[in-house]
Amino acid sequence: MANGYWQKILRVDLTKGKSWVEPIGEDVLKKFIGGAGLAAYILNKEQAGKVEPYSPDNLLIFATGPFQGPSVPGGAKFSIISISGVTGTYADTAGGADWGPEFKNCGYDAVVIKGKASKPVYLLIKDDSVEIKDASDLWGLDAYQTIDSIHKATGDRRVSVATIGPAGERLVAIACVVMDKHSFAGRCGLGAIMGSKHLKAIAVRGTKKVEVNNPEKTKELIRKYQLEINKAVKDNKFRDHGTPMLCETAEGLGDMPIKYWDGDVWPEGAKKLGAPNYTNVLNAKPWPCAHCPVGCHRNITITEPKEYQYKGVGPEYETLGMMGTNLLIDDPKVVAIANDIANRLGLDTLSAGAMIGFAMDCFEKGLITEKDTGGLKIKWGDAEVLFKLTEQIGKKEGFGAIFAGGTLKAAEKIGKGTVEKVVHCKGLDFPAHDARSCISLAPSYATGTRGACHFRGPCEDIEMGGFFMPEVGIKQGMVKFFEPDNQSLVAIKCQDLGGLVNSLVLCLFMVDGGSWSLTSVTEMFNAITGWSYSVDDLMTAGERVFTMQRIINIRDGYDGKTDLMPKKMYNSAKEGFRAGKVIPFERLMEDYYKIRGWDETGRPSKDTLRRLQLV
Amino acid sequence: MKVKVKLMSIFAQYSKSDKDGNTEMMDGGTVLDLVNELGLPAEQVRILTVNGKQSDLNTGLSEGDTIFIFPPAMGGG
Repeated sequence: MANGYWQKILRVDLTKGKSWVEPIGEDVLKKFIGGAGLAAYILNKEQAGKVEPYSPDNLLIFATGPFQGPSVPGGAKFSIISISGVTGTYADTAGGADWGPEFKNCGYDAVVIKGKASKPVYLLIKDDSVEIKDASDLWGLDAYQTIDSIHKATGDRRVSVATIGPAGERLVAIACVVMDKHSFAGRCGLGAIMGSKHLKAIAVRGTKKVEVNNPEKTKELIRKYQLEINKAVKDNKFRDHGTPMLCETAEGLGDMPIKYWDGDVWPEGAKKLGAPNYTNVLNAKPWPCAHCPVGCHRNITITEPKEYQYKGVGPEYETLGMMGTNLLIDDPKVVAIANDIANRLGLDTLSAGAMIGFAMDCFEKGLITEKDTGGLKIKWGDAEVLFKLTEQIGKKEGFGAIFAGGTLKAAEKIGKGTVEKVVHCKGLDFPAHDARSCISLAPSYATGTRGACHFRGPCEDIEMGGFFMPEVGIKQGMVKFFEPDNQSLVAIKCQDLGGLVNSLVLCLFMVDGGSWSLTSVTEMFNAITGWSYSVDDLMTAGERVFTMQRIINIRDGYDGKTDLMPKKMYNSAKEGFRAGKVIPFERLMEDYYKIRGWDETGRPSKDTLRRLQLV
Repeated sequence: MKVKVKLMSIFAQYSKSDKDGNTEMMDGGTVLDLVNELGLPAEQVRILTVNGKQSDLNTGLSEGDTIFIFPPAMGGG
């Protein structure tokens, strides 16, 4: 048996109400590692052609890798994979809290779900026991109520729950999956895929331990890296302040979204939303996932004003960007409340912020009016509008229902040229990073296998000095703002890193923030699996995973013609750091295809496929 | 000489600006000299601008220059 893996896939057919276990070969795991890579292999093998996202034939996969067995720092993760209702493309999204290790400890590497239950159900997996349970009384509950109800029903608070809220049930395309009131697999709307299958939740509790190749070495490395990462995040203050620390840097360098991508500068807004103000005003403390030395999630407490009283998970940088500066809102308490509304409804806060920004832009320009919005004045900076629209989008009610299919589909319904206003790639709204600032993001977003995503290729953090990968030639100073040299190479290496970490599965912040080197990641991987991989071997596996995702997208009609930048990204800033600058998009894409070994239509060449062992 | 220094986010605690926003530093010094005089951990200073242009620790400074120093961006999500 391959160490670090069970070599077992749990299969569930919700139409038939059946579950069974199938083996998975060591050769597949050696090539695709696990998590998103393993799932891409399965999607490509088992789905012969384009699948309608909400059809019972669409596969929904929850997958772990070799890092979920032992207590690896940053290993409390897993990937959810399917064809997205937002983009129609391949999509994976990462979850945290306790779900990944608990599921792995049940004795499986992944669960592959197909079909559609005739009535709402949830899966309860406890080691070898797999039950498809009635969820009629859970349907309609918000995500947090669902978690409480399952804990009550099972009588076990150690059961980890991945659930959808009302947004997923109602097929709101940007519905997320919520884990343990703490972690949110947000992007690409895979919560709606669960909803389309009448699957409310997957609750897991495992007591088995997968064998590792060298237990002593694994233990020693875990201790060593816990200490090293712990020191790094204390020194750089990432533990104290989390991702809100990024706000002022991002705004100062023209990276943070302002007024739905039409604003250039807002230092005062970024200062109020960012650390240290965030940490002080929200009394924020680190909230780590299982055995994590970073603790990036924020546990916040709001006591005043009374109507905003709240205790629980706080917004991340991305939400501060998309629901904050993007909407000209600068009060972290307001963003925290909107974040909580979205979390309970099970809604991606990034896309929800994008939708509301788009609506504010259209309302200001008279492209939608109070007649369209049911009397709601959708004005910039209005907290009540943010709360109301977040709720309407999540519940698919009122004016918010227009966004049920995503921002692009809403614009198609509104017409009047509003489609050109939408800031997206392949239908996925931009996250809170501007491709006009860190221009490596332009080819990264355009070719992103799940659409515009900074997290499947965190190249902006290379440009802004956050981390480097010297083992694969990514070093400090190799890219300069607005200059095209090396930018596409940085984008590619970061995408390959994304393919790798979401297959291991490893939290990206161990590398990006926690200062864990690729050499150390490789050392850990080898101690667990016993496979003697080099850093290059692992990064090639990451490239293989990314390319497999690209192959699925090309199969479904998303080739080079869809590798585009939205129109707003061609507008220059009038002031600030990126004043007068334009993205040299053609040059970047030319470099990108060449380095990747793709032809002019965006397809990997035969040589590239051979090199990656994909033929 | 006097320069204007803007220290962003968690770097703000190292500021030695006077009430007019000026910081006194050695004549003809570099950004590294300034960083050392402020007591900023130099290994964490990776992103900075001088008069709006991306620069580095070796950049020479002149009277009246405006320097922005940003903490590195990490964990972009």
